[in-house]
Amino acid sequence: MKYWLTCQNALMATLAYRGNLVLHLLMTAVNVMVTIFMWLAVYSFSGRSDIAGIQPNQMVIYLIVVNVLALIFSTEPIFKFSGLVRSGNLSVVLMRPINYFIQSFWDYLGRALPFLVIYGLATGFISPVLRRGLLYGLSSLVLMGLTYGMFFLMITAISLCSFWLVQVWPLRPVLNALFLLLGGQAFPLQVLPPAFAWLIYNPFSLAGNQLTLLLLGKLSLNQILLAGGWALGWAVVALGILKVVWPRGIRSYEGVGS
Amino acid sequence: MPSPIITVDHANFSYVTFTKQAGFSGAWHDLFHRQKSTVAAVQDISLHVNRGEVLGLLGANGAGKTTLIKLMTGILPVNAGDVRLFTDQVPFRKRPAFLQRIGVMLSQKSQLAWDLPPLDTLVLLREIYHIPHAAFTTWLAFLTKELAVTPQLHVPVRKLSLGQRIKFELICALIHKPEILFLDEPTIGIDVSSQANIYRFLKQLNHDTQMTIILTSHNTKDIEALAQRVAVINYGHKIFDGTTTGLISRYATVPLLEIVTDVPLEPLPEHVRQVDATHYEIDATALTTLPIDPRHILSVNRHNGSLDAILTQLFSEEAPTQ
Amino acid sequence: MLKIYRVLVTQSLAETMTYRVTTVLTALFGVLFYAIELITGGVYFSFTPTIYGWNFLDYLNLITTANLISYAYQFLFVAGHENLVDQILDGNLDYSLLRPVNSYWFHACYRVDFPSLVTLLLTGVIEGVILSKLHPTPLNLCLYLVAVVIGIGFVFALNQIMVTLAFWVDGLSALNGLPEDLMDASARPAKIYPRVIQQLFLWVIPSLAITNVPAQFGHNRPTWLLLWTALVTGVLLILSYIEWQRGLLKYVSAN
Repeated sequence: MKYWLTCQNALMATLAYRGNLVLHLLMTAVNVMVTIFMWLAVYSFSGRSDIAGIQPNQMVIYLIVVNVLALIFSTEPIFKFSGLVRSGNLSVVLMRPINYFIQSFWDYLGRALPFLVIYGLATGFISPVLRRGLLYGLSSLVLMGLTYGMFFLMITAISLCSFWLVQVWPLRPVLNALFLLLGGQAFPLQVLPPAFAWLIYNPFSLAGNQLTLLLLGKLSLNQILLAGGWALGWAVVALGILKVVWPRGIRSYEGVGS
Repeated sequence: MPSPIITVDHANFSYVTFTKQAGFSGAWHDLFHRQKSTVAAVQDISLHVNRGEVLGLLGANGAGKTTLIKLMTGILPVNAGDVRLFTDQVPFRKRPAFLQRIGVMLSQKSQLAWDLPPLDTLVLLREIYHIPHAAFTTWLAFLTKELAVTPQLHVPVRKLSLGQRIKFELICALIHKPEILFLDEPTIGIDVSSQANIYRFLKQLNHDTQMTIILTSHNTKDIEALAQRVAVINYGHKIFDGTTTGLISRYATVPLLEIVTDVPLEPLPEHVRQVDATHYEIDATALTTLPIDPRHILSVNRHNGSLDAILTQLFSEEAPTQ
Repeated sequence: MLKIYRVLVTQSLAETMTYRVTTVLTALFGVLFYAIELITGGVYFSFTPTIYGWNFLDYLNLITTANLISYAYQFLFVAGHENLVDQILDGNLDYSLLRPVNSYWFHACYRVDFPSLVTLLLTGVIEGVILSKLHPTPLNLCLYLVAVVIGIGFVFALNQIMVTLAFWVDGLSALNGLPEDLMDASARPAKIYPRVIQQLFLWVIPSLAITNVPAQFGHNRPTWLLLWTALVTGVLLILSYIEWQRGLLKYVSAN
């Protein structure tokens, strides 16, 4: 119940700054339009109706969905955590009878709720995912859940560097750039030469590129399994980092004294 | 008689505030029908200041003294009435030649660049006010020496103590040798020795250069130490204008003497009221001599004769009905 | 005024030196995002040699020129604008009203952003190389430079107008990012957009013209749109000045 409240508060926080949210969404939409028009021009001048297995109308959906995903997979928990560490408020939070990470997860979920709803609706109505039989539908849902959890763990693991770094703001542009390039936000990674094929299993690509292709019905059951395997692998890595680094971080934090 | 350097003639200033309503529907309502209310910050104030005078503006928080300073410096325009400095300058027009002749220090605002040493801000002001280099150097050396902050001239502002920062704010206001200096709460939040240093310096400056000084404060020590004349502002009205002693004698009611002795008085003399073991009060109008052995008196204080006591009483009075 | 500006530039440099790490990182990120644009452009042109008559080099010229304009704006004005928003919101303009200088220019030029100088110079060098391959005629080269200067003025005016809105609107910090996003979206050949959008951003808010015009002079395709961008920029600058005066009056009454 208390975690559900966290989730609700986070949703309210997203909606409270309506003006900023609307402007932000508007600018995201403009950026997506720019990319869409550029790709449509590329299709029309290359004379191809299919680039890396994606048709022009699918490319339009791809670019929209991947940008919604970029909103869902935010890196905000890093900066929230760093704020707690630097203000010394972490001690206060840790004394509460709740698990900080679980609370942080619900907060993460709450903030992204409007965008998750959009992605969910798109999955339900546009995508062929749920029309391909029970097994395919279920494994798709599992992949989505797994990827979501994995990305949150990754971001949480990265946030632990706040224990040692005085300034973490530089991570923001770096992570944005990574999502843009490695996540497939600027262009689907599949258009790259085959030598770069291994790139699609990095955490950003799993979150952006793979989930978008899943929604487009471009992933076979095997590919879903493979992506799921990688997501699980990355989640284990992130959990491992958390287990090892957290106690050391706490020690260094309390050593500094707050 | 020379004409006053500052003339405030029936000045009025009021501003409009909006009351916000809570919630989304409230915000929607506010968008179209906002609840306006007019606050009269300064009402019908007239004031004349002569060259070389030090005038203290006294008042509680929100009494309107800072607004009055802003009217005189031209940050705000008067709604009605007239404010003139140097006989013919309307402050709000902000003619460069006029701005060149006034110096302002606002305690709630800072003009020092946070990450840089004060010297950098002062060099910027040198260029803004077209101060010749040589004059700048000697005047700055004098100011920093008098205020005991020469070593801090090259220290980034963020590393200075509050007292040192205030002193540099003061130097910023003085760097172009203004004819009138406006100080808004100059000693707020700084320690006693820094305060004393600033008082002594300002007094000397006023004496040596005939600089006119207008200062606001709710700290009576500021006013008593510096001002030859005080104007008391309450709820936007001027309720007193005169010397500090004039203020005391006008508002002092029954003078009470508060006496502390080293041993209890046995027996208790007539007209003496015991507060506690060695602490007594006497109505000063009732007696011509003190009925207490002077060898036992540790201290005598005139209770209601202090500015503090008078002002506390004045400021706690109800707002005049409008 | 020039003397004051020299002091302000010196102070900016001193402040930059206190935050060296930040400076280096900011410069690095500038390069990073420029590199992403290059890669994305490379991806586009790996499928087709030309798009609406623009080949890869022309396209590079366009995005580099757009970057040049925005880095020049950032170097010259962005720090002043950021500072100005804070000053307005904190109600800290009183001293500005009391100084015998033009407050509009004083605040616009209050700081230069040295981290952006690194990316500005780098972009400048790359653009130099691109232009040396495109061989614009001397006249076109001159007009290219004029168009870039007009572009900087345009971006400055747009930002100045947005920043000054803080006198009336608070809590809409996203508004300040609008000009930057607009210019980012405009760093593409105008022809990729549907006709309505083209007309809107070439003629009404000529952000597309601001990036496309200099690029066209760069590859010897001069256009009369240059005059229009100059005119609009002039009007916007005047508007921003009027807005500033009105804003100060508003500031005063809300004091």
